[in-house]
Amino acid sequence: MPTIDDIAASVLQRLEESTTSPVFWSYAEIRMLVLEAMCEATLITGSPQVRITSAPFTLQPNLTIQAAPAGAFTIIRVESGGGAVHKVSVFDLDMSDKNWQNDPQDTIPREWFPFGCGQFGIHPQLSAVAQVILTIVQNPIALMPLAGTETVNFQSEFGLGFEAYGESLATLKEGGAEADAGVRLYDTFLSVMAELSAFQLRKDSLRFSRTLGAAAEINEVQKK
Amino acid sequence: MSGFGIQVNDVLTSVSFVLLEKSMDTVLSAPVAAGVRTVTMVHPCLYVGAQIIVGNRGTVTEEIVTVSAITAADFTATFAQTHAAGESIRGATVPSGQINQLSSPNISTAAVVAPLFTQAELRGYCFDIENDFLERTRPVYTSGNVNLAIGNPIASAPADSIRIERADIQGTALWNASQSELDMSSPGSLVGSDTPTMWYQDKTNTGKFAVASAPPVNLVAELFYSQKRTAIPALTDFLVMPDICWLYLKYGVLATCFAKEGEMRDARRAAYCSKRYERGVQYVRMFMRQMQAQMDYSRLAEVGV
Repeated sequence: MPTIDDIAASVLQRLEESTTSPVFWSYAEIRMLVLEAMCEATLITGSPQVRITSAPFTLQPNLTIQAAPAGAFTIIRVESGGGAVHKVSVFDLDMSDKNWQNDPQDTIPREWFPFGCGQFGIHPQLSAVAQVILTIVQNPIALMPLAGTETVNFQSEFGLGFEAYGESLATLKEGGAEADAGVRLYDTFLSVMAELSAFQLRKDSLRFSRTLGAAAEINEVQKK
Repeated sequence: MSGFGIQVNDVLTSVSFVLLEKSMDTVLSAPVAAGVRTVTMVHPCLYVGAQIIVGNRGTVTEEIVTVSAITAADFTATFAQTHAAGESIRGATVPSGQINQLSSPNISTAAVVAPLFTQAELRGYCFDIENDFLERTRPVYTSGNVNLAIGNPIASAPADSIRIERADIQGTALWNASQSELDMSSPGSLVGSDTPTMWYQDKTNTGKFAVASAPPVNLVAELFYSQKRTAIPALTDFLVMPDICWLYLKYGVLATCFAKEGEMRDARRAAYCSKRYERGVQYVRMFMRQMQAQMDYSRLAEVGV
């Protein structure tokens, strides 16, 4: 897999800038644009989705709301004892039993629910720590600052889009006709994202179109 | 810190690149002890009043210092921490229009300057735009306890709450209603003596919520609410919004900068950056909805509202 600096170098070449001693743009600047591209690609396509098997996640006892592990943008699946934990919402739980928070503790969670980004909830609370396998939408990098050596954890088809994004937004500081011309390259990025989002649709419900992926109808979960 | 540790300074540094403002990212060449110290360093970002971050990111010695004096060869500031040689020194100081070491050294008192932008101004933009983004997308939630006083149905919502999504008392969920509904269904419910079973936010004054009926004893309500920032951020502050959304904060700030009266005014780039920001709002709404990542208490409401 390429590193951020591999893509940054390609962007600099497309800008007709030196890759060894850039003048008008710097590597620090282009790296941040590559990071932007990866962040936006994640939001559009829901990639990369990672099942964390290297280190099972430890759920804390006596807590309903649990902090997501480092590196997770959001949790999309929880497994316990070899099977999926049922995903619900707080609304579901309240509608089925408004006293669900007072249910007796257990050793494994029976249900989990999203609690925005960075946290999730479980039901019932646990009497002792328990380990689960999480599948997450992963943040594009682990930790700032960018060194440039970070691996780009997207499949290679995203590369063209990242380069187009970097070139497009790099020209913004030039202003005038240069910026106007550069802005059009953002369309290339969007086209790549639309294609890869259609690909993603084969895998799950997240989809994106040039009309911002506006939902044509409520999704299957909401129909329940 | 959640996410990957984007600081407000990172956002302002990216903003500075587009505004053709220099930013600082170097290291100390010699140790600096705590106290008022003069540091040998020459950089175009240094001017009297500039805030810079000294110390490696995420370490206990990381601090913000304000430059109190400059000469052609050094700057002076008050340090709370001791720093070793090689520690990071950085900052998006937006120096254009400021009197810096290179243009006119030895000015250490208030001088007449005409900056295009100031650090405080950009941090203020960050505050406004991040909260606008959080209000429109509500990607971050938290829980908190609020005391309910005996006989008083109204209480203050947490200062960092955008919207209360859910309330419970001792683990029993309260039904979300409106005061109008309560007036129609049970006019006496506001002064009842039973444990509250409902909560509402209308007609309760700004930053308040209420329960029905009024608590018969002092109680504690647990609230699940969408979160916002409560004060203008410092350069070292992490974002409240998910880090992955940081670029939209950048474009929101840029849209404001390019729309500002003055030399940097550029209607085309302001409009473009504004559209990028608006797209970001739509992307995050789409993501939260389709990945079912929101707390989703308002499922009965229109999708995406």
